Amino acid sequence: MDPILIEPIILQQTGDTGEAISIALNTITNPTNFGLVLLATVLGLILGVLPGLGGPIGIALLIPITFRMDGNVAIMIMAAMLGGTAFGGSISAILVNTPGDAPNAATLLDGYPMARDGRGGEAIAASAVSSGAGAIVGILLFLITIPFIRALALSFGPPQIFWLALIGLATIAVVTRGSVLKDLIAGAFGLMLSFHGLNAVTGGARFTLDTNYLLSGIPLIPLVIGLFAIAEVIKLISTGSTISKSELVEGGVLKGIRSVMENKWLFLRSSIIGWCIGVIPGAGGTVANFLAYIQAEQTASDSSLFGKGDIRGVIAAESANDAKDGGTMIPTLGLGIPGSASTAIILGAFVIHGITPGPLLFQENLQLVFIIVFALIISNILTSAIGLISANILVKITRVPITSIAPVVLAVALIGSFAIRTNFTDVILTVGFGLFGYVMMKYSFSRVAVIIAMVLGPIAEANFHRSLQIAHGDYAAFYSSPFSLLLILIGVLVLVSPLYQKFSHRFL
Amino acid sequence: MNAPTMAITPLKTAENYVEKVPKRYWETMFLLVLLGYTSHLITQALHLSGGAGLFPLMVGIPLFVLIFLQLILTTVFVGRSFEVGGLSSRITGALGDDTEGMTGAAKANHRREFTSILWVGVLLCLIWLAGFLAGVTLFVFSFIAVNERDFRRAVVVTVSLMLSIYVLFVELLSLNLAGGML
Repeated sequence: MDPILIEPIILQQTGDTGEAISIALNTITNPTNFGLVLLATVLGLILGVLPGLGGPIGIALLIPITFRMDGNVAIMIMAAMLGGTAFGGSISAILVNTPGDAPNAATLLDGYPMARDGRGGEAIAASAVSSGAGAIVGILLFLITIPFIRALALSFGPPQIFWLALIGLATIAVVTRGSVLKDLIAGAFGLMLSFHGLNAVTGGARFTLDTNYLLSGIPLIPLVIGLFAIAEVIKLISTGSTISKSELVEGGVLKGIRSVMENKWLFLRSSIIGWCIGVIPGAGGTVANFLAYIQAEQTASDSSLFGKGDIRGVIAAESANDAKDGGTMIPTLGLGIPGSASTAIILGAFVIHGITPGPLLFQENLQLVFIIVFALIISNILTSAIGLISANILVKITRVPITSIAPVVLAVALIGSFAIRTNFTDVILTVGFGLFGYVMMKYSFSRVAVIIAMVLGPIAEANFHRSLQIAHGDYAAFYSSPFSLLLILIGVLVLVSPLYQKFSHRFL
Repeated sequence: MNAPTMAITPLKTAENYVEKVPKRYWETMFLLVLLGYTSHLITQALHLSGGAGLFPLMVGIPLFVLIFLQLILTTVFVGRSFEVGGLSSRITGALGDDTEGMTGAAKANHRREFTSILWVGVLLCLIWLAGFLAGVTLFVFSFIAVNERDFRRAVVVTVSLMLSIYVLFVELLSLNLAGGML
């Protein structure tokens, strides 16, 4: 086994672009690492195909497995899995009318009718090509913006990072899919959880319940594994799902590829829409998927076949869904604000590996940005190729009863939570958070909000106190620079926008 | 009454109890737990020195108010919708329905929910008692055998999983998996 994988070596880090690209290339072209990227991609594809087991769960399960690896390698593996899951979800959406993950929901509107007409192969091929190419468009757009993000990153001091963390927390109100009140409760609860343990400012212990266990705070990994993996498994077992019989996929692969070529402007438009949605923190793939679909329907000269098996519906939805990953990287890597549930967990992994997410990342760990870019490109090309070659084989995964999958996920999740610190209390905590996450899901409280708050809460608190220390207690430090004022304005707009949307729907 | 029936009776009683309690009471209990946790932290934060208590109070007090508001909405304004959402939320759907006037299907769902939570508890107990390797082996085999009644699949899945766990966690990551109490 390559020592880079098992020895906790010093992280190779740089802020120089040339050196960063060189480190990223060396990391990713290492044969063992490349093998791991391929493995993570295939695993991500399989998890993506399985309804309910999408990117967040896969990445959560990867955290304990990659914990002892070099940070660069660990993040590379997670990025590869992220690329794999996005396309995987479209396979089950097309073939069994069940999206692998919420961001694939719009794909089924036309994909499944196509599969019922015996055109499943054409739909999967179109999805594979538009997913892969869409992801590459998204990544290229992200690469173009890197110099701007780097320049922007230099203007961030502790007060600005504090405001940025608050904006990230305010996005909880934007990402809400149900009750704003419930999601705010979830976010604030996540913040309260982040206050346990030793305080970085005073050095004193807080809310430890007189135990040594809580001195280092509530561990992030059991929380993430519990809230996502365990809670989802409880839900899947209790709904007795699912994974129904698949339709026969008949040929049409070449036709599907040709369809994307013929609709190149629709593909490009949808990719750009997906990328732009990805840039907005928390907007997520579901919004990108549906917006691109609606745009395709509205701009089509003949939209009568939409919803009945129009290939353009699949192309628009899937290109936007995968292009959004490139856009998501801007707030996630550049500002430390997670763009989706999966990237929220990747941010958690950054913290676990001692890497500070946010503006400093582009100054200190630029190699990670390129590692993620390369891993995403490889995984997207690979998943598209696999999709084109083996759709018929992949769909058989959806026929495996959930009763065979659930115990495996449960076992891996609990062993994974134990693996980090070999502490059995972590396992108990994982199960506790699993039950808690299930209740949250049942009563529509956002679990992503808890993770966002857990990651951003300590950053906000530390930078708040740091700003005051630098300014000798003068609160003017928070609003004296024009950049701070701009961030405050953005924060207010982020908070007000859901209220505006709600009232404009009601009264207009 | 024979022995197996006696063993099942406490579970059945618990299941029946779970089915009878309407959803909003479970949600109220959940909110009360959150409220208790928040109150506890606020009380402790009041005694913290310097800046240590500032953020917990800044977050804790509004959280207390928000939970209290949600409690009122849950208990008083039953059946009113205060939700926003679009096409995606309709498709991806939300879980849960009030158990008042529960249909047979809803009852079956609740029974499955109860059983699935019980299975997670069983796995935790098995790991605690028998350790990871023996506990997980026993759990995976029994879970598949009980739910699918397919012993061949149970053996195949259990053996493949345990081999993967052993290679990945014990051999490659040199992890010392806990042995259990027994």
